[in-house]
Amino acid sequence: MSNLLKTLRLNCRLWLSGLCCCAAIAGCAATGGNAPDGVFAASTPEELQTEQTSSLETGVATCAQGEPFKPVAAFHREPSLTGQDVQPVQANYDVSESSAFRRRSSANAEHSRVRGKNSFESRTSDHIRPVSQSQPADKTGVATTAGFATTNTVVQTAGTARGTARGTATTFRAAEPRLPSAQPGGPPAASVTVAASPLAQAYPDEYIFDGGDRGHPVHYYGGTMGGLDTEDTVAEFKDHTGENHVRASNRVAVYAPRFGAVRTVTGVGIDVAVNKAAGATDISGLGKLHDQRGLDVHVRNSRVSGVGTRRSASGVETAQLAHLSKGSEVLAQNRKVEQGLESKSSSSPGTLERSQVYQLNLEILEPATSSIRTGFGQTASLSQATLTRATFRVQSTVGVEEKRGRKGCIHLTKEASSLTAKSGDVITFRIHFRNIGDHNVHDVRIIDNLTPRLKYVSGSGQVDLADGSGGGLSVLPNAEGSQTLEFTLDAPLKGAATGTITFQAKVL
Amino acid sequence: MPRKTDSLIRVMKNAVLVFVVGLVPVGTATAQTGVDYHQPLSQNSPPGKAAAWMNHLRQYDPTWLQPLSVEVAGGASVQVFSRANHPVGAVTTPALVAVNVGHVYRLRIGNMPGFPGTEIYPSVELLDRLHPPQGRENEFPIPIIISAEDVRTALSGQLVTRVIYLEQPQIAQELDPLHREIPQSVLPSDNSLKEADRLGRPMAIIRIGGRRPSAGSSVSFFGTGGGVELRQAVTKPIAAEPAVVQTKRAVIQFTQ
Repeated sequence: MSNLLKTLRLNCRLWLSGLCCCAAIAGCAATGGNAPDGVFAASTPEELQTEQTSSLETGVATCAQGEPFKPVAAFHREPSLTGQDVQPVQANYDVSESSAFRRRSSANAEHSRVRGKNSFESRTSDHIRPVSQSQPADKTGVATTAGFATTNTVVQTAGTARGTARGTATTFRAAEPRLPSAQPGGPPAASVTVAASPLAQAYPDEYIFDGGDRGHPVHYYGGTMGGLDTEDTVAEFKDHTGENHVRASNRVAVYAPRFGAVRTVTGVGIDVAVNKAAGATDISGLGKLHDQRGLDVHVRNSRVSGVGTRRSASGVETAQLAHLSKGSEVLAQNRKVEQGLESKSSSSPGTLERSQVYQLNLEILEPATSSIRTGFGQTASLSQATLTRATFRVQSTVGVEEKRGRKGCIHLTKEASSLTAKSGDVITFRIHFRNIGDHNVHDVRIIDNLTPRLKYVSGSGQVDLADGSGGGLSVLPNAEGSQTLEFTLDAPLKGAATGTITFQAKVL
Repeated sequence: MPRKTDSLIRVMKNAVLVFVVGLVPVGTATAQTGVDYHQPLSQNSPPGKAAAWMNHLRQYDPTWLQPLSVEVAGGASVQVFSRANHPVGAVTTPALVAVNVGHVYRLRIGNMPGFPGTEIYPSVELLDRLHPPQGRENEFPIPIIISAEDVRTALSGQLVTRVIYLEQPQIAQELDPLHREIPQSVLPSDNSLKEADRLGRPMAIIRIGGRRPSAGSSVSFFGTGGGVELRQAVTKPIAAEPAVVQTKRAVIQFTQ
């Protein structure tokens, strides 16, 4: 009886697998043989258009990207899939001119390798270019300078290429070439340091830095901003899709070395006292301290037990008592290793990886959910790809285009009235901000976390906007004993709108 | 088979040696990150030793002269010696003196209003240099400040050692550590050079004591022979107030 059941099960499995193979072959034929394993394939411009829309609607953030995009009104994101949920890993997507999507993780190749096992990722890895927003702005060279095309001939050339692409059958253009972070005549990128001497990077302790994003990059974790170190100057805003973004300014280095002194007084009287306090001979006469030494011996024994393992492994069997004191050195090394592990665990790559997987799930899940209205689709499969493609065709015929334009993105440029200073001097800082996109940006906050050597001059902060709207300033103490300046704009910042923040700080 | 075992042991020994050697730079990096480390030099090292080590490591440009701003409370006359029993020149404080890095210099300070008829002979050991914008070197000298309390302590037979350090901006204090009138003091048993290294970059060691040259003093008493150039003063004179009063004021400021 059991043998009969086993045979029946085997036959059922073979039958089902054969059925799946047939379905797979049919799916490949329907997609022109280009979309096995759940790939979103498209062969017509309309399909491409809807596919681009789908990528934009899956919570993927694009900032300062030169390419106009066309959201389709039929697709709406779920309210829960806001930018804050996927903030640690946001990606700029740049759609290429070819007839399919190109996906390449420039932020972390490790992620691509891990996700390459997924058929969605591996198949589409040639057609979409995500640019991680956790990178400094200089790494997205096109994005940083694209809004300043009037002062950058290279960007103008890219714009010409864009127009040529529009004239062809497809609406997609070739990806713009990446530009160096700072072009002559263009605005400085976040990694650019404006200093009085080129040696500012080599001898940073002689300078006061303000601006940029020092240390851990500013990021979100659980809706809370982290990584805002002293000296950091960032702009936080939401684009028209409600996604949060953070952009850092360039750095300003003010040459202002400050000195301290450690003073020691030694003399005859002090020498006697010090020798008694520090000498081991006098103190060892006390019985209590003898007890303490006994405790020390016990501690050393426990340490040596750990060391003995290594010595036997290395072939040195005899551990002499004279070397017992070296046990503490071994422990110190272990301590260093633990610190290394701690620093690894606290670093952001782990966070980014987890969030990126989460976003990948979103990308896979959302097209299937919005088109088929069924729950399956978290794992890519042949049938899912076929169904998704068919749905996209339908959507492309009824899609309604919104106004074209680049997503809003703020570019910060920081200046200082003087690049050298002494204690007591007052420096005027200016932060120029500009929306280099076409859409509005909302909830704009420009945060300057001052270094401990700078103290905000009360009442000196002001916000000037070209459209006449205003903003507020709050001065908050930070953990390092200095202050954090938060400039908040009252109104959304329109596309290509500019403004200036001015404040004074006293050099301590 | 024995040959294979021997070669295996040899390889393992080499691996252990490589591992141990590899730990050395780890220790150096750990020292820079604030973890306790061994500093072989201290304020008690022979004058000139730390500077010689730094000069050997950094290979300072002998043509570069680092400006020093010599400031004495109430003003004074300063003479600079460099491995000779006759001074290079005499200036009045605040004085700007440019010297070679990696050398020891002897100063003779006299005509102090608060201490008539007395002279002190502090030594200045220059460990490191600044890198200011070109042409503006004189605006950013290393301050060599001798307070009235230092002079009083030296005249009482004690030795005052000041390790001047360049402050690390990220861990800077709100008060100016050099001018807040309460110097950061450590016990004589502590290593003030190590403490200065923890707070920033050690730049100079000033030793102010009661030692005076005599007819039998060797030229090494007057320094190690680095270059000296007297330049015009650019700093403002510091107030000539008694040290005790300064301390009281400092306490008030500090508690605020």
